[in-house]
Amino acid sequence: MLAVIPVETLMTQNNHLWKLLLVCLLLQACSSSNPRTTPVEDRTTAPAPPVISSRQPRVNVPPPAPSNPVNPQVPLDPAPAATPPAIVALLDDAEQAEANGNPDAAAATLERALKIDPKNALLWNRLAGVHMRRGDSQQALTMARRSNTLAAGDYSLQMENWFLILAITTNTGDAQGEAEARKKIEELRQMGAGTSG
Amino acid sequence: MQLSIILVCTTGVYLLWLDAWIQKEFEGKRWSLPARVYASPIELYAGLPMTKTLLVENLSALGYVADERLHHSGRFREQQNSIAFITRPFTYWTGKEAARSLRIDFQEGQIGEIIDLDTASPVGVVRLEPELIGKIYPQHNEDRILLQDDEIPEFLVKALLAMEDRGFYRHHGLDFRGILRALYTNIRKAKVAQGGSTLTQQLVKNYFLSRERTFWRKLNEMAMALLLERHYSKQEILTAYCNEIYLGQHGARAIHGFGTAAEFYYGRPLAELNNDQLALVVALVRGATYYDPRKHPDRAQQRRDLVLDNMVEQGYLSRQDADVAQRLSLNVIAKPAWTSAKYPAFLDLVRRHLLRDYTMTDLQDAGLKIFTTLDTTIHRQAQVNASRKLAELQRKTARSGGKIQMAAVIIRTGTGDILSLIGGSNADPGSFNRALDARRPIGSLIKPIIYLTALSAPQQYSLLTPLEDTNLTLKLENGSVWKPENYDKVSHGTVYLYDALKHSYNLATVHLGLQLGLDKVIGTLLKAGIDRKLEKFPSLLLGSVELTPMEVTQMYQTIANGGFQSPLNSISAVLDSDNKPLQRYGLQVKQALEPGPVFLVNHILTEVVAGGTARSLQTTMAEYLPLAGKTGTTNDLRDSWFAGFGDNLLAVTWVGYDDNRPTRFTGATGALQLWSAMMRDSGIQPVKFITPEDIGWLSRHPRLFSGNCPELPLLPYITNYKPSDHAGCYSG
Repeated sequence: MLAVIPVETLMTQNNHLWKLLLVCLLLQACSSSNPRTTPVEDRTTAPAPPVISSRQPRVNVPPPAPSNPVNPQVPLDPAPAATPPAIVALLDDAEQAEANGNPDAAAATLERALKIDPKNALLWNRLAGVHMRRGDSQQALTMARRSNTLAAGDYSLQMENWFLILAITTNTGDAQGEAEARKKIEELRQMGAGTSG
Repeated sequence: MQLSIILVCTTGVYLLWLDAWIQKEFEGKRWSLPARVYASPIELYAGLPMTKTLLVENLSALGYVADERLHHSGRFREQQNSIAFITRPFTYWTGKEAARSLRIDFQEGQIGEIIDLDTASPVGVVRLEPELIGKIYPQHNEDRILLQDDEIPEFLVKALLAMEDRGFYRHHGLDFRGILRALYTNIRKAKVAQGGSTLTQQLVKNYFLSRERTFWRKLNEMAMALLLERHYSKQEILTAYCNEIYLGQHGARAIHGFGTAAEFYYGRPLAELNNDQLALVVALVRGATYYDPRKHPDRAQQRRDLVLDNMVEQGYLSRQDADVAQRLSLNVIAKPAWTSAKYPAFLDLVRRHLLRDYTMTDLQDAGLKIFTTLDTTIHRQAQVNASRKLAELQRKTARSGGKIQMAAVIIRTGTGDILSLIGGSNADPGSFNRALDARRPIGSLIKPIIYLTALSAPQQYSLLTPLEDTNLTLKLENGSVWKPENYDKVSHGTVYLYDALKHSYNLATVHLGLQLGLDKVIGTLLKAGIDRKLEKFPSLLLGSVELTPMEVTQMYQTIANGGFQSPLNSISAVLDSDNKPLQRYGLQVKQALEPGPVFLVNHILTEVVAGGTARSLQTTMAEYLPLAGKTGTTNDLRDSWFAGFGDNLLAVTWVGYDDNRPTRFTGATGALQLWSAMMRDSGIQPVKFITPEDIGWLSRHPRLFSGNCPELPLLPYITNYKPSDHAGCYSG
C-alpha cells in the first residue's frame, strides 16, 4: 500500500508533514486487518464450520443510538452477515494470487465471489484494494464507496474503506475528498472503531 | 533418348520443388480454429439452492454420464442424498484447474456440504467447467478441435490402423502389400470394401490436394506421401491425420478431426469415449455421410461392429470385449447445445461486443476461448416460461391478428452481467434481435427518472410534496397542442409525489417535469446510462423517448443498484487457443446517481409492486416479495413494458408488434405477466435496500398532518430536509 502514496513527494512538500502521520495510520489500519484477510480456518483438514465468525468486527462497537427513537417500527438494516465459507475460500485464493504477483487473477477471483454475493461489503473493499495497488484510483475509489454503502453497522470495515479513500484522494490531490475522508475517520474513531490495531 | 533425359530432369526438379513445398505447407499449416464461446460456469458451494435433480440435469448438459465405478472425468454416481462426480480439467482466466473427485450432499433443497473425495476434506467452492454455447466459424466453415499427440486414445489409433492402414508403422508412405490385399478383398467380395491408400496418402489427399480423381493426382499423391514420410515421424503424421479427417456435417459446418467428432456425436471430450464409441468415430472415416449415425443408425452400427471385429482379428481386442461393445446401441446425442439455436440473441450480443476489440478473422480462425456471463440455468427456464406465456398472450390478442413479439433481458444487478437475453418469439439465429435493436417508446418507464430528478433536490421535493394531478394544455414549439391525460382519464386533484409515481399518474408527472425543466430530466437520463441524443419534447415526460430493452435495462440497473452503475456486460474474459490469458473484461463501477434520492425512488418502486400498478405480483410472486418495479404502456397499447427487480436480479420485458399495431395489453396485463412467468423460477430474491446514512424515517405525525389524514405508511426522507412545512392531507 505504501507504493501508492508518494511518500517522497509528501516529504518534499514540507507543509504536508501531517500527511505522513496519516500514512502511518493507514498502514497501521491495514496491518491490523490482516487477521481477517487471512481466514483462520484450515480448509484442508478440519470440516468447515457452517459459518465463519471472522467477519465480526474486531472491536466491540456499540451500535449508534437509533436516529428515530420514537419510531420503533423503523425498518432495520440487516446486521452484517457472517461471511459464508465459499466467499472465505475465494478471498483466500485472491489474496494468494496477489501475493504471487498476479493482481489480475486476484481481481478475477474477487469478481467471481461477487457473482455469488454481489452485496458483500468485504469483497468490494478487497477489490477496491486490488485496484488501488494496481493504480486504478477511479475504480478503487468507487468500489470503496460501494463497500461503504453496503457496510452499514460494520464500523471497522467502514474505517478501512475511508482509509483507502483517504490514501487515494491524498495521492490524486482531491482536497475535498481528502477532507471528507478525514472527517469520517474521525467520526468513526470517536465511535470506537478500528483504533485498537 | 533426349526426351527421356528431359523427362527425368523435369521430374527431378519437380520433386525437389514438391519436397520443399510440402515441408513449408506442413510446418506452416495453421488450422483455422473457430472461437469457442462458453456460458458462465456453475458455481457450487454450501448453501446454494440446488436439488439433486437439477445438478444431474446440469451435469448431463455437460455430457457427464452416470457410472457406478466413477473411474474418470465426466462421470457421476447418484447416491441417496448426494452425488459423486469427477470434474474435467479446465483452464480459466485464473489458470488451470485439475480434475477433482467430489461428493455433494444435499439438504433441504440446498447444497449441504462439498467433499473432496481424494483428501476427504470439505471444499469451499467449486465450479463445473462451463457449457459450450456456440462457436464462431471460419469462412470455409470447418469445425475443428486440435488434439495433441498424447490426447489421442490408444484404442482409437489401433482401430484406425486395423481399418485403414495395417502396415502404417512398416511402410514409407505407400503400402504395396496393402494395395494387393485390398485388391484381393475387393475382388472376392465384388465390391470396394477396403481402400489401398495408406493413412499418409489419405492425409496428403485431404491436406494438399483437390477432390478430382485423375491419374496425375494419384501419382502426385503417392510422391507426396513418400516425401512426407521422409521428413516427418509416424506420430506427427498420425496426429495431423486425426485432426484433419472429415467426420460429419452439421448444416454448413464440416466436422473435422476426432476431437470435434466426439463433441459433435457424444457431447464430451474424446478422452471420455468408451471403446464402442471410439469404434464408431473410426467407422465414419470411410464415409461420414453414408454412415451418419443420426440419419443411418443401422449402417453406422454395422460399420462400428466391423471395426470391432477387425480389431479382434488384429489381436487388439478380445472377442468377449468386442461382443460386449457390439451389444451396445449407438447412444449418439440428439444435438449438442452449441449446434442448436438455443442462445441466438445472446450470441449475437457477444459477437457484437467482441467486434469492438477483435477482427472477424481473429474470431473465426484463432481458436479463441470466450467466457461469457450467460447463466444457462436461468436462461433455460426463462426461455421455456416466456414461450409458454407469450403463446398465452397471443391467444388473448388473437383478434388483432399478426404475431405478437417480445424481448427480455435478465441481469445480475450488482455487476451488470447479462444472464439471459431473448430477442423475439422465435429463436432462429439471424432473426431480428429486439432486445438490442427494437427502439420503442418506453411510456411510464421514464417516470422514476423524473421523480429522481425532483428528489435529487431535497430542499424542494420529498415524497410528501403535493403535486397537481390536473388537466393541462401545452402549446408546443411547432404550433400543435398537447393535452396529456391520465390512463383512467380522471384527474386526481392534489396528490403526494409519492402516490403520483406509485399509481403512475400522467398529469402530476407532466406538471412535475415541467417544473423541473426538460434539461434536468434529460440530464438524469444520461446519468442513468442512456447514451443517446434526446429531443427536448414535453412528451418525453410521458415516455415518448424510444429506447431498446437493453438501454432500459442499463437505466434500471443504475437505479436498482443504488446509483452505482456497471455497464451491461456479456463477456468476462478471452483466452487464446493455448489457454493463455488475452483479455479480461473486469467489473467496472461508476457512482452515477446519489444513493439518497435513489433510495427514495426505490422505496416507491417497491410500493408500485405492493399496491400500485404492478400489484398483481402480490399473487404471482407471493413467495419472493418485496420486489420493486415499474410498468410502462404507450399510446393505444402499442408497447407493453415492465422493469422489475429483486435483491439480486433485474429483468426488463417488452411485448408488442413489429409493425407497431395496438396489442390490447397494458404494461400490467402484458409485459408484467411475461416477467413474472420468467422470474418465478429464476432464483430472484426479495429486495433488501440498505438505508443510506442520510435517510431518516417519517411516520404520520400530528404536527405534520392536521385533520382527518389517511393513515400513511412509514416514509423515508433525506435527513437534513425533513418534510415539515407542507401540512395538509391529500388523497392519492
